[in-house]
Amino acid sequence: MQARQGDVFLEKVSNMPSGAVEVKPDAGDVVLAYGEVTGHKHRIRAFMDTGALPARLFDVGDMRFLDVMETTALVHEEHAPVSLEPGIYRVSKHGIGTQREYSPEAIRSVAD
Amino acid sequence: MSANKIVRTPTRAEGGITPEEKAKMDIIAQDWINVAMRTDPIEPEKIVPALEALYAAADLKKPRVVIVPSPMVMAFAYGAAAWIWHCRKNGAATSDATRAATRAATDAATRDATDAATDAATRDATRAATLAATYAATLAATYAATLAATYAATRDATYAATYAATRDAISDATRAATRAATDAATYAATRDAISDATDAATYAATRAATIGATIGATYTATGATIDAATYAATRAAIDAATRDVTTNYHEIIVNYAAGACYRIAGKEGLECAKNWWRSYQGGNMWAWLGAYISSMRDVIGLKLPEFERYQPWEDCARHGGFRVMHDEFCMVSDFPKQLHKDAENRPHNDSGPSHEWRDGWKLYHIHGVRVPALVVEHPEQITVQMIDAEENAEVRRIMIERYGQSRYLIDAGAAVLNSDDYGVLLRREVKDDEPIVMVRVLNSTPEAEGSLSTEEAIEIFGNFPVMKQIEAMRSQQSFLSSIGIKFLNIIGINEDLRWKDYFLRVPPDMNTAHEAVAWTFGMSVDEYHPDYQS
Repeated sequence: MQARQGDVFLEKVSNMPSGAVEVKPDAGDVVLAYGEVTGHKHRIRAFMDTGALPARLFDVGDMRFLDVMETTALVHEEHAPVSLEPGIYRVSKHGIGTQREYSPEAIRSVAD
Repeated sequence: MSANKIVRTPTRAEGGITPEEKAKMDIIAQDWINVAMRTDPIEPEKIVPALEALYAAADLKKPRVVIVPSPMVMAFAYGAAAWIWHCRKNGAATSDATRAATRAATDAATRDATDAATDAATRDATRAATLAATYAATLAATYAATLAATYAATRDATYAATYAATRDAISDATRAATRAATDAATYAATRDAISDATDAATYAATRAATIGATIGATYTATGATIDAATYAATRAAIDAATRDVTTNYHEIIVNYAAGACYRIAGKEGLECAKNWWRSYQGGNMWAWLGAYISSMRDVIGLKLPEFERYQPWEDCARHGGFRVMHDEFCMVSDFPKQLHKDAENRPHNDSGPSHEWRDGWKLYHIHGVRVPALVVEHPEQITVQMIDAEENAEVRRIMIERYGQSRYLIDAGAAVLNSDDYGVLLRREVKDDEPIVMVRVLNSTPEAEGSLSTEEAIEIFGNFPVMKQIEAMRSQQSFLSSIGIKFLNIIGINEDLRWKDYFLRVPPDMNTAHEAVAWTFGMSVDEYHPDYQS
């Protein structure tokens, strides 16, 4: 299963590599990525009734993984929610797979 | 690194440099970088005696020292003065012109450049009358004769007498003596100490060849730190300014410094101005030599007899900008009042001039690329026609960035390479540069402030991708409400949806929109198949 919310790409994987370090929630939410300019967040919120978080976020080297324990949704101020079934997801917006744009090669000056 | 024996005597240094010496050299390098980047005003009480001492050290007669507000004014004031002095000494029919002499020429060029608009008309009328004779006399000469004479007036008259005398006899002699007094290890270590790895790398890649060929391998890479931001930029700009006005005579009327030069000394004055660089020295912008000699003298402890003659050279570097040297006069430029650079020490200012001198002469650079003022001051006035007419590929790139890459692509008429469920792949050729290839994609979530109606979105992206998205949104919405998750900001899915599109630049070899979008996530076409997008 693959999903994309703005510039965040998620792909379901079979398991998480070893050496994972949990990324602490931010103000009670699991924040996958912050908008560079707007400060908007790609995040998963706690259940309103119990306050429990349905998912946990981990960094493994320069990769990021999301462990979804209960069905939930990734939300964002400007994008529609993306529903997520329980499982392990690799999150692109961190290290490998971060969305990029092409920059042309530097122009070589022939005059100097 | 071998453990060479450290030798330090007043006339000999061997064995490389110690960590303590390196630390002191770092301070010296920074001091000289500050000298090169100086923006406070020139101090006549310091630079005038320093220049007089420099001439004296080279056994030259005391020059008239003239301080000019900018290197640009210096070039034209020099051209006029050099020609007038040449005519005076060679008995040419320019008696009217000799009255003007050096200071008048400089004053005129300076004044014209600084307060051009206020009294240009009055001045023009008087000058036209008094200088008519000069003008007629000089225009009578053939072009070949003009070139030969201006060459003589600039290079022949001044180079041997002043430039060579000061440069070869003082700075080169000091460097040679210093080099001779050190072994290879000390010399190399000192050079390394007053540069850093980054600057050394930049220096080698860009200017080493030129500098090496012209002024020898003894210069250190410290120069790169300041060179890129100051010396190269200023020098290139004056070259361009003098070349432009002298080859496009119609522009003289809009360039007051050049206009003054022309009125006082005619076409020959402008030809002389073109030769300003034949007798110039870099002043504070040649700070690498200062850093090198200071290190050898004040840190390594050499006490060479040449250092005494070198002192005025150092004082001139510390207290003055670019200078032109003539056997009758020396013109020295004030420092810029502002100078901006980027983290790589290239001249740079996104929102104003990179350099500005006190007479109002300004240069504009974006990360080391010199651009027309309009590109920085009025980017909203850039047009597709201006971009396509720009000859310099680096400048064109900056203009396109400021115009907006995607806007340029649409306005300049890009070709559609491919259109699929992921978006539209567009390509626009750019002269002497890579083509711009961008994928135009539909922002998956409809938004109230979107620029496209559903109808327009379908026209650009096709019916299927838009409908597929609406369908996916509906199913998500019902699923999410079934598990009790509240939408934050999503608007209702109805007939009046608005859509946003956006553009991503991708490598020029992309063939499909799918391949292009996959590339943005570092994936191949086979790997990238999102089930849902928002």
